[in-house]
Amino acid sequence: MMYQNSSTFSFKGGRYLVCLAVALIATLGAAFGFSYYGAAHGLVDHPYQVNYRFQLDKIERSRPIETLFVGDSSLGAMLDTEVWAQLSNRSALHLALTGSDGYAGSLNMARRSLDRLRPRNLVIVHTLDMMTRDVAYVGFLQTNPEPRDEVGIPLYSRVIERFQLYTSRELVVGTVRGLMGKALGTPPTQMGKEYILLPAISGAPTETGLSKPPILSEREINPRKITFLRQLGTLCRARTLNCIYAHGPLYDEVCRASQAYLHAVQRHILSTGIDLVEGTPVCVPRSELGDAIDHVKQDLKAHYTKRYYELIAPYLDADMSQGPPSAGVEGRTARAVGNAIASPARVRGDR
Amino acid sequence: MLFNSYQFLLVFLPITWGVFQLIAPLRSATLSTLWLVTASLAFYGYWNVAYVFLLLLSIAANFLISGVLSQVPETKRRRGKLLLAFGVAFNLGLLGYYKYANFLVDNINLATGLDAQIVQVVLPIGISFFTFQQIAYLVDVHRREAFEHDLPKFTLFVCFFPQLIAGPIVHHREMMPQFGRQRRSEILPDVAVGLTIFVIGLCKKVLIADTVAMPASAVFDAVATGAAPGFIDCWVAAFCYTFQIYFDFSGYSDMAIGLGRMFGIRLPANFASPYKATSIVDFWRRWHITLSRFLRDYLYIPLGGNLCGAKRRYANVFVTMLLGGIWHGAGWTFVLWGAMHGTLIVINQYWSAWRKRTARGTPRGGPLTEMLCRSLTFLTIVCTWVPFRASDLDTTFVIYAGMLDLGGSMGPVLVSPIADPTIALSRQVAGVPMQAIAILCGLPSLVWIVWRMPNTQEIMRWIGPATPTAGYALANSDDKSIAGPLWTGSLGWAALTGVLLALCLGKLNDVSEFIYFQF
Repeated sequence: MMYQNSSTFSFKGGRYLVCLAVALIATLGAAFGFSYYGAAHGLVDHPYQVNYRFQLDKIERSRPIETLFVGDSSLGAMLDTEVWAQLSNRSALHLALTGSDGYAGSLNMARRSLDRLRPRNLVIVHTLDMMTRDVAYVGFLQTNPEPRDEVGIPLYSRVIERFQLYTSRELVVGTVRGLMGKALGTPPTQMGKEYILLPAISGAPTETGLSKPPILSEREINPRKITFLRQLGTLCRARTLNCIYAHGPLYDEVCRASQAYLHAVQRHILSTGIDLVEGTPVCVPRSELGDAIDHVKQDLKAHYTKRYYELIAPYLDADMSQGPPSAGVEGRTARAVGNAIASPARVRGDR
Repeated sequence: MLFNSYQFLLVFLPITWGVFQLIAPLRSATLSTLWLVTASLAFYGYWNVAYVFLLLLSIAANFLISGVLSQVPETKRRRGKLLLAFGVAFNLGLLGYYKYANFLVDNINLATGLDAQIVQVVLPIGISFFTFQQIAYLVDVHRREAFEHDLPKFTLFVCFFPQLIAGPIVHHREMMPQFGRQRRSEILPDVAVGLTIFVIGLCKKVLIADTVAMPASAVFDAVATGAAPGFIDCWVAAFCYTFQIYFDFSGYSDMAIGLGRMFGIRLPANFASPYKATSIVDFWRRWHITLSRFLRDYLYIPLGGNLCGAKRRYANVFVTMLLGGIWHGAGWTFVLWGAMHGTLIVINQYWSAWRKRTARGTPRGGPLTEMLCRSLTFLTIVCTWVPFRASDLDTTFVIYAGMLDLGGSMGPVLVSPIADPTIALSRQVAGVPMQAIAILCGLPSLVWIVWRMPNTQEIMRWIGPATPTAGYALANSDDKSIAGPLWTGSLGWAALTGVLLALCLGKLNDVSEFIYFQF
């Protein structure tokens, strides 16, 4: 077999590489420009974007409220703010995004809405495995109300994440879809509905596949993950907001198997200065799960809203300077950790 | 650090290559080698710094043992053998501790009812590869076929970053002569060729393997957590995984070969269109060629090969494949996978021998016969990948039951959206979910690609991108029968490569590991 070695090349390597680089830059530039245009003009038709815009629209339509909820889909799938308002006799609103927006999404939704909604309480609800995920820089950039304010994001991440965002298939395809006329302005939901469960997720298998649930391990915790949660804590203190953190509902098998992880996560969260609701996550039996292990069935929203209300109510309207009526901040947070570990709240057939 | 990550592509690779070329004019092979060693160790340490010391310990020990081994006079064969046995035992001991100790203890506990515990260790990435490479080296030194006096060169031979984590498993004799030999005039052509091969591999991984992984993982993971999928689900999952592992691993190998070429080093080819194989024996001449070569030269032949009669040969083949299966991982699924392939090769060889014995000869190779053989082989391979992917034997049997339509209630993948929601596959066209359309169109297209399209070596045959391995399938530049695109180094190819690279970069935000990293 004859194999010619590179010394016999008849092509010009330099010219080839220049042409390759030009094609690469031109393609990336076109993708970047195209999706930047789509994002800037609100053309992106993307499941997450649709819900995000829906939540932004809710801010515009709302008046000042008493309690604001931010978080991910575990919150969106669980909370019925009308039920909450009836129970508390106070107004409430939630601006739930998705797990991929992470704490960054919650921070930015708070930043976007605090001036208009002027809540007294800010309740942050995220699914328990949130601390195992990557820091959501993309989520931050996508939801950031002040593009010039990217404090806390390393320069490298800022460049790379922005590059990733605007050259990503999702944004390019979303912009194409938007331009084809299926874009925002007509979100696939009825007004009045509080959260848009993504179509792909809402069709996922639910009743099966849960006999060997994932076990969350302390080793999986990403210590950098609290970057944006810490900023949220700072924001709360600056605004003298009563900020409370609760874990979203979770499949009870995972609750049971992840106690060491839960303990470690609680410590991380408390280090941000945000108070923790004891008794969360509310552990959900298999029969009451929706389309994911941290989503409750949609017809049980009222029930789980009530359950969470019972847990969160003692923390509401707390005077930040004095702490809750029953305990000081330190005593309360210590109890939160201890109780959550000793007996995660159960909701089994008590409706 | 993953080849398909921004850190590698935008930081590590440009710096490593840039400094390498800055050093080149000094004409110091030692300096170039030392730089590549440093970069390779940084590449490895990015994953876990602690295991750099393990890698260095392994290299130092093997260098020392090989040094002593090379000094043993030919007349003292017994001493040489003992030393070789010590060296092999050291390597296998290291591999055994990190890879198999937990598995062994778990099974002893299961069999005896004991509750023995050992410290849970994290498997050092690439340990199977660098261990095998060094065992082969020790054997070659013992056979007087190799010896390296230069520690930096030996270190680079073991830890050269393109092949450190998942191969190809290289031979001392094909690597050593290449270090520090790149000529000035070859630099740009080598980078052009290397980058093109790298981009082909990146496309295989990012655009194909990661996409077909979604339906495969959805079904296998669901089964692992208790679901019982139906007939269509199981077949779709098995086919998708068949394509995933091929495009994932051959993509990695292409990337490794391309990276090597950028530094003026030709690595051995690892794949030669394995799904075009017309028999299981043929498949193993085309799949993971450097592993097959290792198993043949350092296990099958020392066991006696085919020189000790038919029965012994069959036993040797079976044992070789069984151990090859276990090499992939500590689990009964890999044992089963190895045993299945061992059995299939034995059946294949027995059948060939029977045809010869009964004067029937080789079947006439008409296109229909070839297609039949290829289809049968391909379907067999699809079935054998099930235990390889499954997390345990229970999962394996549930998937097999589903493939035989013996149970399962989970909704078919074709109509139950399970893929990445961000790509909106759940949307419908004329009432049919996009996902179903994607799968129905995608799988036949992939079959067409793996059966009809030339592989990377064939596309690039003009310049011989990788070193061939004697006895294994590989295209050669004189083969006029190869249909399909031929890389010519034209500007059109350059532009196409640039566009493909851009497409891959746009998809790197959902970066995923290579399957073979776990081995």
